[in-house]
Amino acid sequence: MGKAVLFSILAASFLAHVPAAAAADNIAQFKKVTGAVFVEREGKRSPAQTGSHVRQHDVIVTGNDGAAGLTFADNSLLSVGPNSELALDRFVFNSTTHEGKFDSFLKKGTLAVVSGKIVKQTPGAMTVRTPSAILGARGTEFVVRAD
Amino acid sequence: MRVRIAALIAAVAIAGCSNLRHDEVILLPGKDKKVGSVVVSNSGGEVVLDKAYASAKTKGSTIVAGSSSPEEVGKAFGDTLAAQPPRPASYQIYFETGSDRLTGESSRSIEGILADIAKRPSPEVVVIGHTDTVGRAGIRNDELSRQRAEVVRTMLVKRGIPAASISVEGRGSRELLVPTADNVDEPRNRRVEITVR
Repeated sequence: MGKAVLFSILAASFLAHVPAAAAADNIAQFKKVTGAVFVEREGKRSPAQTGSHVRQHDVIVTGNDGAAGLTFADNSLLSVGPNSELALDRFVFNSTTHEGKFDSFLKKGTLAVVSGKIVKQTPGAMTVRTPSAILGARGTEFVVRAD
Repeated sequence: MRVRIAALIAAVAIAGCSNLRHDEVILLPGKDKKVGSVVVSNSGGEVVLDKAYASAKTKGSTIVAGSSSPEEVGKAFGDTLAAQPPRPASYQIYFETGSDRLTGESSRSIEGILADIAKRPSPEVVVIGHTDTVGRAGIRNDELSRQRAEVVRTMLVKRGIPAASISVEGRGSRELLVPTADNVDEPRNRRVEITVR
């Protein structure tokens, strides 16, 4: 086997590992997407589809006709309505102990929340910030609007 | 009294904003009819919502408690609630003692689980294996619990569920469904928990 071939195999296997490492950082998946829905990551905006993943620090942005629902690794369910902007500031979850922290910021628009295992294990460990308040979730379901 | 006047002024200030320039949170009853709670706070104070349709409106440093209704929520959050993902569901599959062979009944219940997976958008499956406390609690049970989970994964993959959407874990005898002493043959602890979401 020539050195060049060996190198390209090594390079390919290395590259193949890069997405796998990134995949470990996925915190949630889009389950429903209607209309214009985007994910902003590191300054870049890309359209969201059912099945696409999000990571900590991503911002979900919807247009006039947009709405989207996400299921998180701790079984939390979040959905946003039209003209919304939701920043996923922090999501940490230990799937064995169920300990974690989930902080998001609804800059504008609407949000519906069903809390998951993080809140069940540690009431209050999930917060949603709006421009004029901070909400600490001690359980289950609520809706939020930010103007 | 001063507090009450301040609250009244705040309420008037917020009510006066007919263009809805404020933030709002409304607590909803859960699907199981249980109502949780949400603590709403800002520099003006704190309100605890713990009844169905209790609400808090906030703006700047004001915070006003109130209540909403299913009709109002439907009107203001209809699109948002319609976009909610399906609720995750959890199933238990049981095993013969000391083995990775499913009990007859559990083999049949796989069909229902597959049907649930099939109707979900971009389904994810989390498979967690467990054992009872028979045998040495350590390595053997960790291995067996993992093996049980792998057996379930293989069954699901054979039935067309993409392997990439299935994650597998083994917890040994650490998370008993039915708490028992060591060396207790408890069928309900010999299980794999399948979460579908």
